[in-house]
Amino acid sequence: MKKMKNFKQIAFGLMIGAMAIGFSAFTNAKNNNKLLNTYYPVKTTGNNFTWEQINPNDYNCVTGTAACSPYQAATPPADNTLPSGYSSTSHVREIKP
Amino acid sequence: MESITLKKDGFQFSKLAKERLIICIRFVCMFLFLYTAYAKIVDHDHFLKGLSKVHIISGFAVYISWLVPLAEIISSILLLIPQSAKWGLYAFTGLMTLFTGYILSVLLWEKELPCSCGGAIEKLSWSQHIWFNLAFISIAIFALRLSNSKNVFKK
Repeated sequence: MKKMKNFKQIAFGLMIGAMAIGFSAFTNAKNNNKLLNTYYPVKTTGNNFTWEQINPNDYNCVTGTAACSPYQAATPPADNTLPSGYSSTSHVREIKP
Repeated sequence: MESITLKKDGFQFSKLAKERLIICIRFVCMFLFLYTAYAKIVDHDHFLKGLSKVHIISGFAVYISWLVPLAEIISSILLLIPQSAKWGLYAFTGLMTLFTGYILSVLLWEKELPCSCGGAIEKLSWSQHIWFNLAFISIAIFALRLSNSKNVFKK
């Protein structure tokens, strides 16, 4: 009788464990969007720029060939190129003197 | 009814009510640990990155990043099996106390506060996190006290 009770308890516990893992997988999948990084086009030389993860407060928004708004992606776009959906407003970020 | 009887000296739980309450607490604790352990293993890089940012443990971050979910899984297994449930509750209380101590030390000494606690728990603020941990520690201690008052785990 006691063995049966223990067996039932373990079976119920395993069900809860499966639920915990399932629930964790579900919330984890939702959080995967968080893996995106924020990049800004930062002026290098002339009209060139590179995509960097910066603190925008430390940078001015100056005239350039990209924009000052952030771009979110898992990896940075190639230097001197604008990814699709990110249009130029003839600006770029430049570190404050 | 065999659930709760009120005596002159306060609440007194019947043996069945105690057993059921302890089972509920065990499974809630187990759920929490399996939930966070799974998140830490699946998103291990993120967890490791978070630990590496904490100066006091950054040197052992790699070991800790595997030891923590492993300890959580072992505690969950202990909580699952009725014969070892008491040890599971002790392990759970110990680990949660350790985590709370870690949060407090990070709050005191670190400038940046990275939380890599796993799953939705990461969304809690640091003070909410401490209260959350304290609530779980309290219910685990309550379950241990219930089990000690009348040896529920003795089969």
